[in-house]
Amino acid sequence: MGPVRGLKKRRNPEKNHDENGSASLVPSKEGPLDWWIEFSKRINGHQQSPPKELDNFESVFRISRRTFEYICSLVKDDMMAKSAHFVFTNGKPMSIYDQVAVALRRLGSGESLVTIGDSFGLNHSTVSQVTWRFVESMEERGLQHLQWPSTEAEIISIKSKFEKVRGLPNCCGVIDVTHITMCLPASEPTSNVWLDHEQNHSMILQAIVDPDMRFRDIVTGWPGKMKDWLVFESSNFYKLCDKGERLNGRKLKLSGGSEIREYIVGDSGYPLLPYLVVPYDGKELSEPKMEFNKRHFATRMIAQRALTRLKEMWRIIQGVMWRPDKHKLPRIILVCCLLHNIVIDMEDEVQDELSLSHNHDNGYHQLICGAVDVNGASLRDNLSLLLAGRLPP
Amino acid sequence: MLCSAPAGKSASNWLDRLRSNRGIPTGDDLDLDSFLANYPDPTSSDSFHSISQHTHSTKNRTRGSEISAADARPTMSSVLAELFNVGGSLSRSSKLSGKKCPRKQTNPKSFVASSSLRYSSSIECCARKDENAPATNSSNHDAAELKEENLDCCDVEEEKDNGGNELRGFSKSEVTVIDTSCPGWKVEKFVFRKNNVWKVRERKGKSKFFAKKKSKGTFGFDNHHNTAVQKKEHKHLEYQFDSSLEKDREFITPSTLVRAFIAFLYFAQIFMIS
Repeated sequence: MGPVRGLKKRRNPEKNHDENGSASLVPSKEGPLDWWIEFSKRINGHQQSPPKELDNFESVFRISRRTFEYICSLVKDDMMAKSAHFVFTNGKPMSIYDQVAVALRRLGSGESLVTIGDSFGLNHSTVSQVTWRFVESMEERGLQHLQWPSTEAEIISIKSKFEKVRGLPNCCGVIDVTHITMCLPASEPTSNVWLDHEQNHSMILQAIVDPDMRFRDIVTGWPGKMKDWLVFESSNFYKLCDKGERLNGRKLKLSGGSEIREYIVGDSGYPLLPYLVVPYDGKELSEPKMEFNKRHFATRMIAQRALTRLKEMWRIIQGVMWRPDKHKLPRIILVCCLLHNIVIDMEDEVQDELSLSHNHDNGYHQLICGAVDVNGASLRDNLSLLLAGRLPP
Repeated sequence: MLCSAPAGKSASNWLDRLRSNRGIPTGDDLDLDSFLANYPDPTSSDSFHSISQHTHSTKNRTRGSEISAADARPTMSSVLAELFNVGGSLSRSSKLSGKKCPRKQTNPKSFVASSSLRYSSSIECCARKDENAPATNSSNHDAAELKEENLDCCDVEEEKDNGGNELRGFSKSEVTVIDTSCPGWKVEKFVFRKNNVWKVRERKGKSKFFAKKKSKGTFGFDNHHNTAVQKKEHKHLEYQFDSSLEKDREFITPSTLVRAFIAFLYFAQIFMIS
């Protein structure tokens, strides 16, 4: 089945243009093409020895021009509302393209405010203000790019794609956690709560990912000391599932009278629940269980790749952040996730060139939760037998 | 009235003349520490005339009175320590303990001589931190243990203010959580932790403490305590924000200038003797 959601989203930008006349992409006298010519000259002018890749738009921003223009259209109204005071050091006012370019560069490169300010001919405080305004605007305007599938067609498509990956039927998502590491003052007692099991100060990002590596649900802001299962149990996704308001769609009927409900998969850091399937643990597993674990692992890899790509694309959350504002950081993470999804929704060609690495949390060991729900165990056994061909569909 | 230099000394060197003009005793065996011990703060209501009187009476003081005066007033070395912002490296206590102080400051801080009360509280804060700070050559494990101890201290403090029996002994932190399955997405919550036990509470409305804190600046965490703890934290906040809030203030006061001048004389004397 074709990428239903992708097609839909691809149409969204055009729809937005039609509905909202102000979303026109000609906010100033110069068009995007003219803008880039001048902007690249400015970048190269401020570099002592400009590298050749700065001549190329995709090399600088790692998104296509089309995606860039769409993002500009999303945030234009907010960014241009009071932008008169955003000027380059030479006094020239910043256009919407300039502002979005600066913000994307800050989020994408993770370079310091001073470095970006120097390379773009801006004061570092301007870089900070423009980036934050972009974040505030994006978290309002880009929300439609990150949501749990709401239509039957969407969920059918997701299940079908997951089944094509490694055969898991009726699977609706993969859950995983990554850590956004921070450098906090060790002398501050409150820093301790952010110290995770690998002795890094970090903030947690929990994501449920669809087969296209699109984030469908995220939870972030919790301190690194919280274990994966606690973050999950604190999430609204968990509450909705528990109340039967999520993952409550069509069940797969098996011939023996048993059935396989909708579920997501996660690693051993999560409990085995009726709607969350984790791998079998132990060394001496039966053949069906080992086979199940292999398929389970391959499916989980999608989430690991998605989180790796997120950090590679939006490097502000990749390295160790120097004493970030912990109330602002979740919002920056959210916007990075939104941008990640926009790149997928726009079917940006740039994503094809990205690596498929899956090491998003370097140095972090697997946590083991170990909690088992009886219904969850039954679901996992049914899946295992079904995949081994011992349970006819 | 200023003390004029004696006629017989008119042929002495410039340093003696300068000292005489300023009412500072001359000669090679002068005890600057004792002098400073009796040197009044020019910003106080004492007149300059009384300074000279104090100066002349210095030699008549008993040993006992010297000790008490020295206790009450800063010594030369502590004045220098204040002037050059070297923390406790030149303080008498460190001299007595025989420890060699590091050349660089361990806790660089802004010098605010105009507000002695706050300054002293800042130093206390620094000292407390120094005691808790892990040694530079200690392992990560030790550092983590120390941090754990620090947190325990924090828990004890917060135990008082939580009030409710349910959350007694829990440390409290405020976090902003984004959950895309929530209708509002962005929720501010309180996290209570005691070892491995976590409790999460929704933040209902803005507390007065939070509102007050917001006007001060942005912090990652807010600990909302009772009045006593709040006062303690207020001091702590002042210390934290010294560098930003006091950035534009005038640090050099008349008192500082006089002390700087005396220090200059002191060094000049040492230089000339050597």
